[in-house]
Amino acid sequence: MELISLKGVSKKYKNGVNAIYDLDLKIKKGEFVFIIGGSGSGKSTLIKMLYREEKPTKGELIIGGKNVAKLRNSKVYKLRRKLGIVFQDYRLLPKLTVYENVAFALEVIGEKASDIRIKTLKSLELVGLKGKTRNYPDELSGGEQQRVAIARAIVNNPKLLICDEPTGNLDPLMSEEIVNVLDDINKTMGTTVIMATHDRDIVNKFKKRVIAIKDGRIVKDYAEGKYDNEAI
Amino acid sequence: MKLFRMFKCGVRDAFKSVYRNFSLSIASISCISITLLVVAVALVLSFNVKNFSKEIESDVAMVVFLNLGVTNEEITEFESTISNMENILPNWEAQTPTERKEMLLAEDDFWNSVGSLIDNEEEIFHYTYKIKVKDINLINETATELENLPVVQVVNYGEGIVEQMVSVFDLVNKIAFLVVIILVIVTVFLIVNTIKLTIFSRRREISIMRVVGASNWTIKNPFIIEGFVIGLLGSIVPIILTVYGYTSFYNSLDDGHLFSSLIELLPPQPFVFFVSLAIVVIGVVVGMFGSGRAVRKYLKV
Repeated sequence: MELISLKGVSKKYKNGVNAIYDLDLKIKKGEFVFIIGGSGSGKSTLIKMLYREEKPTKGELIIGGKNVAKLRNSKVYKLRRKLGIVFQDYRLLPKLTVYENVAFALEVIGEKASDIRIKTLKSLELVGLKGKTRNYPDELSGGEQQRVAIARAIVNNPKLLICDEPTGNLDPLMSEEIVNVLDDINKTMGTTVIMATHDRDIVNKFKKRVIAIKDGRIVKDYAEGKYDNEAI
Repeated sequence: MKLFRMFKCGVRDAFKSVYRNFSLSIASISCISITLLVVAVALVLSFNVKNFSKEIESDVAMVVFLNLGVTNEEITEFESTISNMENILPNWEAQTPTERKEMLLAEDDFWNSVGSLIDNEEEIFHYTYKIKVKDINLINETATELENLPVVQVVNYGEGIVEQMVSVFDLVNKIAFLVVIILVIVTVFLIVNTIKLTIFSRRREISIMRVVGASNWTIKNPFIIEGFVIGLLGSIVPIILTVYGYTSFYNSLDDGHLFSSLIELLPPQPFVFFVSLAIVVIGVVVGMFGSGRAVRKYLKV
């Protein structure tokens, strides 16, 4: 069953730049997908449309049966509660501890205090950071910070995890560690994972579905792909 | 229950935020304090001018002179006419020719010297009425109406001066009101700007809140409560200054008379409490409105 379905999706920015042209794409529940492409290829725009930071100018973008393209701004939060999002720059709050950063995601949606505690600790355990709950983000390594961000993204048990270049700021070893965590989440929780990246080694190592984007169009869609020069 | 929990969260976050962004909060609070203080001064001035002009206006009377030798029937008819006129207060005073003669003899040396020669007062002195009006702006119309009655000879009410005075008071009142309104608007801008600074330093937090699925209301809520808290804290100093300042100023005057016995200030109680209430309400409402506006920009997806 498809979780995400794009039909004829185009995106043109107000300044006239065409980022995405007439894109068709289907992603099934439980898949792990790498989206690859160079700078300015449109992969970031595609990712942003998935969590409705950007709105398609044309076409249908269906996530979990709902057309996100028609979602009103004031209702976007309903979509976001079903998603987990991880960014390249972690986006943690420096004045909150690891535990508070993860719990924050549940607090703002009005979860009960007792549930917050259970879910937060479980989530931190899943990313292997149970021992660092009281630390502040600046006391952690880049990889650990990204794991906190992942814990925050999955704390609400989302069906879909969107990662926008999560390894962009990390060295190869840490990058692999992070993708391992994502792979684990994908396998154990059945969460669909979409990860935009331009990390050649990671893509080649994990052998997942690879969608290559160039100039706003899908140029390759490998089932067990690799990152080669042909792909981009 | 969930709403209540989130509201509780909002209140807690607002206080936390005021504390965490202490220097910015102090900046917002002091800037609100200063503007509210000016608002307080303008309010005190405005109400005192209003009170003072009301006092003077209520003292303005017109004197109606009836024809010489009016009959008792004409007098009764005149009195019933003025009782039915809308703009005339019912506390008018009548003066018979004899009373008028006595008053003039007591007041004036000339009349005193010739008064004893007069024994036919009714042919020399008029039957007069001292009349006060409800709406001083309509005094001209009322006077004309009275003058048109056949039994009335002349109406005196200090034409010109009264109208001038009325228009001057009116102007002063309008200016004071305008100053209050302008200051309130200025306060809104100041609050919007200072809270924008706070929000600017917290835009990361807002963007994370949006990413993890906080509704616009949830994001706005702590900022609006923060505006409330800042408005509330900002009104403390102006209130203290108003209450103690006005009371001691009033007490330093002779019975509340400023410059002359003509200008009487409003007694401090309950006036200062009323002004304080107005200051709190303005501070709080403007604080909430200001932060609501300031955060709006960051809520657009």
